[in-house]
Amino acid sequence: MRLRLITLDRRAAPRRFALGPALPESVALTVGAGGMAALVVSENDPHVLLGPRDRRLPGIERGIAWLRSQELPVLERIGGGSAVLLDEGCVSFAVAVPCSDLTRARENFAELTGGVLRALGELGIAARVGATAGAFCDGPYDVKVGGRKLVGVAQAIRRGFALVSGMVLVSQDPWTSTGIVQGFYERAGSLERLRPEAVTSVARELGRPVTAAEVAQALVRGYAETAQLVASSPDPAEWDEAERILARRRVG
Amino acid sequence: MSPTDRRYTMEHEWWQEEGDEGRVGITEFAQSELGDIVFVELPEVGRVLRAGEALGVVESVKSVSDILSPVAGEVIAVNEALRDRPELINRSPYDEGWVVRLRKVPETDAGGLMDAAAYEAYVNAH
Repeated sequence: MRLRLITLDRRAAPRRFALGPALPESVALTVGAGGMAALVVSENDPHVLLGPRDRRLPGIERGIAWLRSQELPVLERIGGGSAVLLDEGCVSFAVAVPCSDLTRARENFAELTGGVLRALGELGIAARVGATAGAFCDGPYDVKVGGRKLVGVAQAIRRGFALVSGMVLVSQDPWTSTGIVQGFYERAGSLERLRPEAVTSVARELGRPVTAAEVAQALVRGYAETAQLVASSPDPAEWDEAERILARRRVG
Repeated sequence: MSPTDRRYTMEHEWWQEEGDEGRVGITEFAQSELGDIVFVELPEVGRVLRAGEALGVVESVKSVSDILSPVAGEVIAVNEALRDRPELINRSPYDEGWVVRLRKVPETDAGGLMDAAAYEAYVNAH
C-alpha cells in the first residue's frame, strides 16, 4: 500500500497548526474523491473531542459549558466513540483509504493500526489490541498495555473513504484527562464512571520523559514498515476545507 | 438466507420495491459485521437522493458509517422507531429495522442491483 504522508507539528504556522483537528477529515475527502490513501500524524493543542453519542446526553449543553469554562475548545469528531481530551501530551494519527463498504470496519481497524503497534514495539512497549473497562472512550479496537489504555482508535466510513483515527497517549496525565472527561459526563447527565487507573502513557510505561515529537517520528517509522510512505503537504484546497470542517465541528 | 423479494447493493443495503415506492435497509450480513448499533441518523422527509448518495448514518462500536441509497428517490418516510431503538436493525434488519421509504424518481432502474442469489454469492466471496 502507498500512503501519502502528512505531518503537522509545532513548527507549522499557528494558523495551520490550529487546523490540525480537522485536517484528517479534509484529506480523507480527497481520498474519497479518488486521491491517494493518506496518513496524517499531528501534535495537538488542548481540546476535547466528543463522539456522536455524546450529543444525545440530556445535559449536553451543561457539559459543554463546563468544558468551555475550563478553557477547552470542544469539537465533535467524525468517527465513533465518546469524549476524549487531546493536548500536548498526545499524538494523533489518521489513515484514510478508499472505502464505501460499511462491513469493512473490522478489517480496517486491524489493517490500518498495524503501524501503531510497530511504533510502540520500536519504542519498547509490547502493546496489544483490546478494550479496557473504565478507560475513557473505551473500545475493542483500542491498544492497551498491561490492562491499561494507551491508544484510542475510532473509525468513520463516509463519502467514499474509511478514516481510522486515534490518539497515542504520550505523556498525558491519566488523572487530569480522566477528570476532565468525567467532569463533562457528570454535568451532561451520563452515569459513566471512569477510572484513571485504566489509562497509561508511553512515558509511564517507559519510565522516562518522552516527547510528542519522538512518538510522532516512531509512528512514521512504524507505518513505513507496513506501507510505502510518500511525503506530502496538504494542498490549498485541503487547508480551506479543513477550515470549513473545523467551523462545522466546533460546538459550544 | 437473504429474502428474495428485494434487491441488494455491493455496500450491503437492500431495496424492497412496492410499486413506485420501496423500503431501504441494511442486510443481515451488514448488521452482524457492524455489531451493536447504538444510533441511526435519519434523513429529512422530502429529501431527494441520488443512487449511491448517503441517506443516513449508522453508529456502532467506535465506528460511524454511511448508509447509501440503492436507488434515486424522494424520502417519503423514515423509521421513527430507530430513534429510540436503533438495535431494531440488529434484531430485525429486513423487517422492523427498515430505515427509510423512498418514492423512486421515474427514470430510476433498480435492475443494476443484485438479486438474493447473487448477493449471497457476493457475501460468500467477501
